Amino acid sequence: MDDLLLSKIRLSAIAELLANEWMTFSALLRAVNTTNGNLGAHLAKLVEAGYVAEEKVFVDRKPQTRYRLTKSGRNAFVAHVSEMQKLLEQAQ
Amino acid sequence: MEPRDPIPGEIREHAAMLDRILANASREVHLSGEPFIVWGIIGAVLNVVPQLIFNGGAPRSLFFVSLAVLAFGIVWTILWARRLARHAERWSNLDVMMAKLCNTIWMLTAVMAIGATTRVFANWASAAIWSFAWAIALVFAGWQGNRIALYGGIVLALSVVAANLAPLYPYAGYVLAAGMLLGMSVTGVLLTTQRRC
Repeated sequence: MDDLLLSKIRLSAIAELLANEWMTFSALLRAVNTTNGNLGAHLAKLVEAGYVAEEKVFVDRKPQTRYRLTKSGRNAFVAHVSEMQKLLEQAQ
Repeated sequence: MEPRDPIPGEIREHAAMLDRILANASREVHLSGEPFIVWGIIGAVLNVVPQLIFNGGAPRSLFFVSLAVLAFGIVWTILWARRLARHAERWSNLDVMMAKLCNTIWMLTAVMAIGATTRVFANWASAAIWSFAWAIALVFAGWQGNRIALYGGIVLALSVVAANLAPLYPYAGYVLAAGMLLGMSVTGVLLTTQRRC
């Protein structure tokens, strides 16, 4: 199983990004319901693994960080769900 | 880090967590109310003006006022779309789909209403297809989980049917205008209010 996706915060972030073309850090923070630092740390791991892409833009001269799910992130999520289903079937 | 084999209890817990997270993840299409308020009013004006002119209640020159209102609407929409793109905090897959649908409807309806008027879309047909086209967009949004949009779309569609009824047909412009106000502008107000709550 993908250890990166065993975390509830990371899984929640990926689930939100699945349904969105992109999301800002603050929108993800509200959706995932955790602290600033905690989410930042988890997103950094996902970005490092190539599952999530991070881009910094300026909106009205204020910096804004946006996140989007990459193709490998989407594939990893699908593989993880599929693996979970197999393991559940085996456990039954 | 090497992958480890999870124990069955852990698997079930994780699967349950996955189900909860996916169920709670946002799936609804987010509609901004402002364009519906503005275009509902513009649509009403564009329907009322020719009805007034036809009934002899206004001079033909009023037609140019409705053209000015239409031009204002187009400029407002472009500026609004640019502001939305700058300030949005998320752009969901459904939002992308809705935007593409609305743009498609807008472009094709404009071509039909302008290019096929006088013969194919005679009388009130060119006005009615706008109501019908926006009803499609709203009902589609409604099926993605937005009930306010669904009711607005149904009201708009019903206004076209109502305008076709024999007793109401002489006042078709007013009926279509009422449909625009109730089906689009009121929907826009409700969507805006819902977002702020």
